[in-house]
Amino acid sequence: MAPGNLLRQSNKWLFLHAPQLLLDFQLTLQAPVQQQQPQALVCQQRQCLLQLNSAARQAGLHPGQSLAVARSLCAELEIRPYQELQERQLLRQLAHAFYQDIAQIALFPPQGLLFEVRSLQRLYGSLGQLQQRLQQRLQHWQLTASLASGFSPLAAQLLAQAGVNIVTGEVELVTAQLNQLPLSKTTLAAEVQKRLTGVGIHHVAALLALPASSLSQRFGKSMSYYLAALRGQVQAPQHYYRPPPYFYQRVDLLSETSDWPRLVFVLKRMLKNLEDFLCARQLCTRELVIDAHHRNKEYTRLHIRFAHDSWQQVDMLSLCQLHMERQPLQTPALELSLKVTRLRPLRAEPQDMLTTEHGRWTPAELLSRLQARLGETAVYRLALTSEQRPDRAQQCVRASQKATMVTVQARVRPLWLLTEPEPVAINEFTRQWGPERIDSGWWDNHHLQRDYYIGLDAHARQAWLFRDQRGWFLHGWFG
Amino acid sequence: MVSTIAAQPIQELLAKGLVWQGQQQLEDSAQRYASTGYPELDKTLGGGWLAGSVNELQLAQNYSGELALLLPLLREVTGTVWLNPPQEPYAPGWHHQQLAINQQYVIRTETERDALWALQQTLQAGCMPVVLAWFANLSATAVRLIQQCAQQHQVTVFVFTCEQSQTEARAYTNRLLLERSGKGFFVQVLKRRYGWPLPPFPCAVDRHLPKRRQTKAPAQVVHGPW
Repeated sequence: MAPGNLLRQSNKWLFLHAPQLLLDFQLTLQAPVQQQQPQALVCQQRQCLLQLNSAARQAGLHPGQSLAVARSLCAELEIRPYQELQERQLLRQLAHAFYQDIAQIALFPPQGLLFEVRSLQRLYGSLGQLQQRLQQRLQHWQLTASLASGFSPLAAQLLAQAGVNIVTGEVELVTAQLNQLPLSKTTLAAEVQKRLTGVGIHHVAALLALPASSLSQRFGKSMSYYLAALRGQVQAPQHYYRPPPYFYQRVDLLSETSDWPRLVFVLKRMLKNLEDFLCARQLCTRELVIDAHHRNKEYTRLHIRFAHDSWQQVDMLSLCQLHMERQPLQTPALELSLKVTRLRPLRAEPQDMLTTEHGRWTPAELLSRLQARLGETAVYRLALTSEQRPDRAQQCVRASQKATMVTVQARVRPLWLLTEPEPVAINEFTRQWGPERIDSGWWDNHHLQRDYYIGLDAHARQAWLFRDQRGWFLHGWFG
Repeated sequence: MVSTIAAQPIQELLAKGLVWQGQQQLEDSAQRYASTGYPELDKTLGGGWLAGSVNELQLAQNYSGELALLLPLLREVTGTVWLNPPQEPYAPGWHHQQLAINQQYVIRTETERDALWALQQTLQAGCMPVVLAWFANLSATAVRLIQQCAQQHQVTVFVFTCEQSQTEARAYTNRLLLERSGKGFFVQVLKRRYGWPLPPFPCAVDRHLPKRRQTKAPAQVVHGPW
């Protein structure tokens, strides 16, 4: 590669490669004792190790080793199948986390992220500061990853995938590192690599030193395109990550479990992620959907509704726990997923702030808690309707709903209403007041024609009675 | 000296403040009382319903006027919880009685354990100044727990139960027996702070209820059908 060509360029790309993304994430969900166990993710088709934790490495294992050898070296090795789909999903989450710092992120599934950093120079001042920021995030995620700068996406990718950690603005440093890469670390097809080795090219340096035209003559157009991409002469369009308008996370529980306390540990972390998600967008929610996925592809759904806007992990977790206590899990679960689709803008409600002065909770928070354990129908308010018919003159308002205000003329009505009118013998009552004729509902099928009275029963209590074609009924009590 | 005091009538001693009276003692204490809305009841309870107290209202019969007794209080407060009421409360009735409809919260539980839990949560929240709770029977431990919680969070609790035959002590601040007969609504104080139990006395709850017809004697009223 002609040095003059490179000097005009700058390192506008940064590539992050997390070779153990899935395993690292699974480790964070485990208790510290369990983390010390040697663990590995294996490729089921080739029966070889893919990702190892540090304990497994200390036992002398390394990626690519066959399963049989690994087992003989380390008997207590815990093995789980590698699931690419999950890792891809995880990568999206990782991208989402980095989206806080970097606007242009391209996904390189299953383990890579490409950042466009030139546009961020004015924001961060130097690459060093950005790097610090990224390292913090990686620590938070407890990820092992390599970060490499590059003057082209491919150059950064190759370096990061080779495990080189180099964040620099100097093009020469990147070129020097790149030149040292053996061909096996490139993404060239194995067959092409073999042919190149055949003609005595072992390193990228040698490849770049050759004139592009002669290489393409011998190895075809794709070769010249590859080199142009490496040099940054062609800019392939990147599909940048755009965060989804909802939250979804699905986590493998690593072992089947049916008791909620163990699931809570996982849920706690998911809710923390949800909190970050909501906090970053200044959103909140009143609805969580938690699915416990079972072995037979079925799932148990836990639909949790709050009566107040929620976005804090602590808050949501305590409500989830109440729900879980109420609904024990019948079948053991393998995976847990959390979905939040209904998001609403977070805004401070002045009315609520006033009420929190007196107590620790607002009424809405209290109702959420009660609902969580007692069930949604157990807590309600009543509201007036514009109906004449006594049975329909009020309606239940669930704690999460907003009551519509109706202005109704205040009539003499009892404080208690019997849900089902009770037939009575009228000679046990003494008439006090009445009648009030209620004749309504002829337009639908519940026509009602009744004469209401107030009468005293044997204990001198005021009863709300009515008479219709069927006879006398007790419908409510005053007092 | 002794002889001069002994010679004075007791009324004079009272006027001079030489006789200590439990009733007066609590009038000037720093505790917050909410008027019951009935002067005769305020007097017996030392000023009204004590904030952060648990009051037991034993009912000879349901719906005899126990809500009417509390209506003056309920009209004043923001936020009332109705825990396991015996029938469905009726919003048009609240409207008629000028209660803030959107400030009334109904909670229904299946077991008494859940009811106690819900009560405890409500008290701890501290955002509902009044709780009306219906219980068949409450153990001494439960009452003590509720009393502590209510006092700490300054919530006034009314526990409605049926007439209790046993006289086992409970940690309630006040225990009242409410009864209605042909002559009117009577309150009997079974237990109160700084005072002896009192025999039944009439309480004018009927002024909050639909007007009753003046009848000479119930026996002379012509019974239905009308």
